[in-house]
Amino acid sequence: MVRGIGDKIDFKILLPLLILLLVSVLSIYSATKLPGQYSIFLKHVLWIISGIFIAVFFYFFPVQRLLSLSVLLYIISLAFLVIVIFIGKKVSGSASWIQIGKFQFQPSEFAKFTTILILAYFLSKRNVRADNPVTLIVAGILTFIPFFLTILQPDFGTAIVFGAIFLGIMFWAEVPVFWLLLLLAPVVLIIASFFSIKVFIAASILITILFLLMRKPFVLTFMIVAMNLMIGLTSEHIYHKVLKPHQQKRISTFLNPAKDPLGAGYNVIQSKIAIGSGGLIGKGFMKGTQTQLRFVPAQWTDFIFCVPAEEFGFVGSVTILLLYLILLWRVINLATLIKQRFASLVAIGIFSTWFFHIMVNIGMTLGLSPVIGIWLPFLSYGGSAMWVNMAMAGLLMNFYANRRELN
Amino acid sequence: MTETSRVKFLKILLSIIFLFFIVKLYELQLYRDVEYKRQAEINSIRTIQHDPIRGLIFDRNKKIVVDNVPSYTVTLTPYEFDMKNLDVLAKILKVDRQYILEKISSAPSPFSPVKIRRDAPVRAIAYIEEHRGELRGVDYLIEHKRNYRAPGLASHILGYVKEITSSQLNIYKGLYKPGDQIGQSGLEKSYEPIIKGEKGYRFIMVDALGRFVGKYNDGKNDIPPAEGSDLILTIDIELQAFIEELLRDRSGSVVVLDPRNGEILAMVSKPNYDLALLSGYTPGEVWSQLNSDPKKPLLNRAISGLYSPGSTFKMVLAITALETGSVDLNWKVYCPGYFVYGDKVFKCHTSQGHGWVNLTKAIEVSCNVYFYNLMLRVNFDDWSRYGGLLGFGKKTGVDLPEEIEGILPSTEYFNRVYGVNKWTKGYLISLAIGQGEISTTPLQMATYAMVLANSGKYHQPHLVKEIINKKTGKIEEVSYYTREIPVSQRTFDIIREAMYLVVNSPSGTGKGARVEGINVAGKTGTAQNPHGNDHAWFVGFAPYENPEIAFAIIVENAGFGGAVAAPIAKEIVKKYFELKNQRTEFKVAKW
Repeated sequence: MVRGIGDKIDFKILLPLLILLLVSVLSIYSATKLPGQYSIFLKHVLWIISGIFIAVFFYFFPVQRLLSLSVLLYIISLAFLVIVIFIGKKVSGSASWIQIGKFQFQPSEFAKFTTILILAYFLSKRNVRADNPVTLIVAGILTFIPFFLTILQPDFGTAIVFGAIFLGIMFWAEVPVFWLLLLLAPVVLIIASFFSIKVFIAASILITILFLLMRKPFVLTFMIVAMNLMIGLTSEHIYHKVLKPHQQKRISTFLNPAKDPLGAGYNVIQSKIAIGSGGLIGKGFMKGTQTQLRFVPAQWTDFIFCVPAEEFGFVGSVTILLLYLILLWRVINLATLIKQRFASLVAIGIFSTWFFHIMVNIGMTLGLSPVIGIWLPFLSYGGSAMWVNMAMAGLLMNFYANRRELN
Repeated sequence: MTETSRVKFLKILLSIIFLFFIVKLYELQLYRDVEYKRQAEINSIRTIQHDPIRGLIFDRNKKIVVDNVPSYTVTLTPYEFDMKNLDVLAKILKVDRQYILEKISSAPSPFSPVKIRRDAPVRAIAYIEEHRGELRGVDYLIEHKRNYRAPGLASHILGYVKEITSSQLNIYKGLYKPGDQIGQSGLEKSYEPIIKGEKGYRFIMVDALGRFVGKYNDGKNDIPPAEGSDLILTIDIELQAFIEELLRDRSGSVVVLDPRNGEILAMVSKPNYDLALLSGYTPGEVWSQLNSDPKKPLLNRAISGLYSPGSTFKMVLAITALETGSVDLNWKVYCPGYFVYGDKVFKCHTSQGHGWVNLTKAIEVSCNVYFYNLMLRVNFDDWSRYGGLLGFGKKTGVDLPEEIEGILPSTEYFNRVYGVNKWTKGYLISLAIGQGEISTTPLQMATYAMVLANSGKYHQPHLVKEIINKKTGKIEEVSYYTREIPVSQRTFDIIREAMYLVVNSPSGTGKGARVEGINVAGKTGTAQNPHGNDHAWFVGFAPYENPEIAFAIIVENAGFGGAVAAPIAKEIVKKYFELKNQRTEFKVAKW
């Protein structure tokens, strides 16, 4: 039987991936043009090249082996997370790096991958039933450990990603949506209560409607909604009455950086100026004044999106968005294509990770979401993230190549 | 939930988020891009203003009167500045903290430096250099300030340069920025657009911390500053200095001009002030002292001081009478020393009287009684008309900003002030001898002397002779108007002869102005002053035959014009010819 190369290689993943890597190389080259920063660019290229080897490794790695290694890998990653708390190297306030010689490694990135694996492994076990509350509790504990350890670093931004992974995988594993909603509702309401009374009311109405859609007994729905509103109102009360002004300010600038134009808000303002000034076709490669003059801090890591947006304009930034959309769309389809539960759940876990990162990172540069220091897949500078993402991409292509066997 | 509906949910969620992003990108990059592009430019491209060097000021003999010297201006970037250094800064700059705080609050943005102290002491600069680490945000730049070669000399003519005030900023919107220097008085003000030069701009790129990264567009857009044009004055600075010295600490004014062209050779106003006090930084107490001084040193008496002309105004009446044919030289009046009109007695200045006097004699001895009578014989409006023709009651148009016009009454004026038929001829009698409701400036009096010297030729008085355009390097002559006053030569001959007799006849009131070898003509005046002693006037010209200078002198509260002002005239005439001869000899010697 002769099948084309398209049968073994998923071009819908490979092509957007390669283009994104190219955009990344160009963007980081542009953002590190000043003397003394050339090494950043060189390192980035090295990460990508080594990342390709990792992707190839995972492309050929037997899925069954991976499944059986899940527990071990998970435990190793937790061990690293514990170690990093003690010997971690501090980078801008959080000790999230382990330094081995010249080599730096970020255990929380590795943990994202192993958390996906352990959740997929656990939920694909024959005797685990998705509609059993115990399943939710065990999965919750499995996620909470790396989440909690990451919080301790403290790296709140990365920690939330575990929550996104958890929700995505649970949703895909057919855990009743009602349960997920029960978990999510108070979080949403607490956050909404910090914004403004309008946002809080809107969120309350939305959540009430969602609970009504669950078609549970009216009394139960009423009690749940009441509970949630109480939690939201209490947190609002705590925020306004109990917290000291500087604590309030910390929360409010986290949620709305524009309020602090010289502090956290500065990044967002500069990022919006960089993006907005790009116009339709941009200022041209290496001609972005905001990029070239370092107006946007952390330009090559968290704010990398500004570089192509400034230098290639609306055309460039929408192209990048479309590449991500193709990639993410493909991962959803791939998850349905693969019938093996473990692989399918892993695919959705990867989808959740990427989707959350893209949503928050781009949203942050556009001033839509809070400033959380998390990378943009394949574009941001950073070795550990690049390797983990490449591993994930290799694994997805592995699933595609072996889709008929994974049944 | 089935698998299909879960896939649908994820895809819809994904689409909504991405659609949201694209809408936001549309807003930022296509809808509001102009606004962000402008912000990006402000962000990264800093404009550095370079103040031009103000033009120099020379006297008529090309002697430098005003030039520029470098001075330090301390700047402060509010964002970088640590307020706990405020006291230290106030101390080294010798200003109070409030002064600095006010300057800081005028900053357009916390990231752009504001000038907080001009003309900073050198010690302060040394301190700033040594303590760069602690005094973050504090820096200095080298600017120029006016330097006066002869401090205190000709201060009213030159005027001073100071930082623009907020009300001026409102007037000159766009032309000036806060912190710019602007001519505030005198020639510095009237020639501001010419003398100031044009600002230059450098465009540099800075990074987010404001550090210099490079020139914008390789400096192709930079605009170098253009030096201001130089002024060559009509003033003879040596004559000016001589007259200022002559008046010493008396209050008053002297204007000397060349009747052949209206060039002002000297314009003195006393008391004056030292311009150096107002160049650079002026402490508040110096300001308030100058402003509250009862002797008003800031007032340029030559053009803004109003005085009754006194007897010097008698020639206006004489001209009116002669020109309208009211009287001729045969018409005589007997002066018993007083004049009665209705129930009022008007005095002559000598109680024994002048006896029978005709017009020439009346001027020579300054007989009031003659002129009281004459005033009643001429038409009041004719008098006003001739007064106006001779330049009273209106600005001369001298190139200084502070000039005022004075008052020359007319029927219309009295009707306006007192109401129609509410005033009598009695009001006019004092006007005959230049008293009452009439006021003039010393400059108007000098141009009056010029017209008499020239037999009717009026030249616009002026202080700037030529302008040296620094851009083209060319000398531009400034043109001024000239007019002929419609008064017959015969009338002028009579008046001029009478004025000659004032100085040269044994009974003349202006004998004090007599100069050996040069015929001086003139007229004394004693202006009654309701606030104190009389002001002494003398107007005149020399040489009588072919006048080269015309002048007006007033000394406040000094008594009789003949006794006080005429001797000053004598000194001025002597000095003028002395200087003239020196210069001719010098020129001959050079040949």
